[in-house]
This record gives sequence, structure tokens and C-alpha cells, in this order.
Amino acid sequence: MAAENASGGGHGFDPMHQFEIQRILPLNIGGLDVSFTNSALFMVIVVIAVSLMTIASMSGRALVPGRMQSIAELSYEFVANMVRENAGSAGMKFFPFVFTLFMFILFANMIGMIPFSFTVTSHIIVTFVLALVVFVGVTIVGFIKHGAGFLRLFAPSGAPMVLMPLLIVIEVISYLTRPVSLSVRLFANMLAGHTMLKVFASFVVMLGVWGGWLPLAAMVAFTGLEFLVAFLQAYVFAILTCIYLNDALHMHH
Amino acid sequence: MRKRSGADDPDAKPADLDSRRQALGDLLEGARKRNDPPPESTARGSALGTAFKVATEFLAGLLVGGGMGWYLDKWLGTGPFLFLLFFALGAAAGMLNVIRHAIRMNRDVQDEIAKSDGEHRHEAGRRSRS
Repeated sequence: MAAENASGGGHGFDPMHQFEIQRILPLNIGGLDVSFTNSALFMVIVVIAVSLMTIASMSGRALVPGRMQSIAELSYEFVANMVRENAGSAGMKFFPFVFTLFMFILFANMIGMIPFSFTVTSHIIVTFVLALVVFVGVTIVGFIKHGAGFLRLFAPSGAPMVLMPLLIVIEVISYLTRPVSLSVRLFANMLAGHTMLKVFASFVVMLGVWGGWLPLAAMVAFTGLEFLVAFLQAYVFAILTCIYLNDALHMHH
Repeated sequence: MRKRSGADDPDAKPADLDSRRQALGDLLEGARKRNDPPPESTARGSALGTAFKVATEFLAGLLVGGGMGWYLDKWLGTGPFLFLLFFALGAAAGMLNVIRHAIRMNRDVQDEIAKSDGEHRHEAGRRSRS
């Protein structure tokens, strides 16, 4: 990737080039730019890949699962256990949502690790919308489940009445930070990781045959680390969704 | 060892069979737990990740508080005062998030310690029994 940049560009090396949005199919509806971009293309690829993995590999329904069926079953069980442990059996109603979310983020992160591909989750608007869906959904679930009583979430029990106004404002802000911290975490991890990979790759090219081996070795290690981060961030996103769901379903926490 | 002792007494009573099945269940459970550590431990594996998580929690508080104050100021035209106030409140909310996060992490660690403790005791007990 860096080699292509250094030789082809001619105007120096730009580690952020990989995050640029390119319009593949320019579209403009009512003054809104709804072009089909490389980001959209990779989202479609992610959805197709997830669907293929889960639907096609399960089509055999073998009693003794094959390789692909094992992967599908393992991911199902992994997420099912996560939801059950963190949100209780009442949270299992939301399993399809959490599973979709987890698989989408996991595949977006993993497909982003393929050279020359685009990492959908490295854009804050994508992760922010994902987090916002979780946030709004969880809030609605809370209000449906507890009615106006859900507002008690913002009133810490056992606090003196004088401090109540201040504490409620702080609690509300704390509640509102959820989508921000959720999205910033995923986006920043992906952005930082991919930028770091690119910068180290450029070191390999710059130092050439003699000095390039050290950063190359570091690259190998970082690539492994990035795969771990790709999985971990999907996991963290999904588990925090479960924890928020749990807060909304069982309010005494 | 356990297998042989089980196969060696064919005149085992049903009650004994039950307890043996229980023991086998425990054994399987233990083996399963040893073989796949909970994903939580991998999550905590990277201290950098944890530090980053805590930092984002705090940063998000500042961002939301500051943003709220800024928009309220713009809306009400109250100079920089609401921004400053809400920035401070945002910092407090961020700190609250950090503390909650730390409490959750602490609880997870303690859970794990208790679990592995119990497992060790369990194993020791099994060894002394056989």
C-alpha cells in the first residue's frame, strides 16, 4: 500500500489517503448527495459476506457440522452467551439485533484488514450512527418497559435533595455520553491502527533493503495486533450494547 | 484413574451412579472452563486497550458537556457562561463514567479470581478424594 503511494503519487506519502471517500456512482436526489461511494460498496460487501457465511454455510444443516457450519454455529453461540450473561434471558429478545450488529462490525473490521480494501468503521459518522441506533433503541426499550419510571435512572438513590438538580444534570450528561464514547472508541481504534500500519509500511520503503527489516518485523507484529483489535472492538461494541440493554431492562443497578 | 475405578465396580448402586455422573459433569465443566478462557480475559489482556477505553469515557463527557453548553449559549445568547458551566458538568459526568467503568472492571476481576479460586479448591478436593 505504501509502496504504491510513495512511487505512484510523487507528491510524498499520505497515510490518510486510505480513508478518502470516492464516489463510484454519483447520485444526487433533491440536492442531497447520495452517491454510491467506496464506503457504501464495502458496506454492501460486508452484508453479503455475513449473509453468505451464515445462510449458505447453514444450508446443509448437517448434524456433524463442517468447517463453515462450525464457524456460523460458534459465532451464534458466542453472541448468544454474551447476551444471556450480560442482559439476562429477557435480553434474548434482542439477540437478532446484537448478532447483526456484532457480525457487521466484525466483518467490516476484518475486511478492512485486507490490503487495498476500505475500512467502513474508520469513519466516525458510520460508527456514530451505529451507536445512535443502539442508544435510541435502548432508551425506547427502557421507556416501554418502565414507562416514566425509566427517568428514575437519572436520580441517584440516597442523595440529599439539595444536590439533586446538579446530580440529575450530571447523570443526564453521563447518559448522553454513551453513544459518543461507543462510537469514538471504535472509530479511533480503527483509524489509529490503520494509520499506524501505513506509517510503518512507509518506513520499510524509506529505509530500503538495508534498514527496512526492523520496521518490517514490527509490521508483522502490528498486523497481528490489528486483527486482535478488529475482533476486540466488535466484541466491546456488542457487549456494551448488552450492558446498556440490561440497564434498560432491569433498572436496579 | 477415575475412569478405571468407575469401570471396576460393576455392582455400583444407582445412588452411586448419580454421584458419579455428577462428578463426571463437574470434571467436564472444569475441563471446558480450562480449555476456553472467557473472552473477557482477552478483553482485559491489553492494558493499552483498557487505558484507551477509560480515556474515551472521560473525553466523551467533555465533548457532550462542552457541546451542550455551546449550543445552549448559541440558542440563548448567554455568552461563554453556559459553555463553561456545562464543560465542568461534562467533566464531572466523564469522571462518573470512568469511576463506573473502574467499578465494573474491578468486579469482573474479582469474579474471575473467585471463579479460579473455586476451581482450584475443587480440583484439590477431587485430587484428595481419588
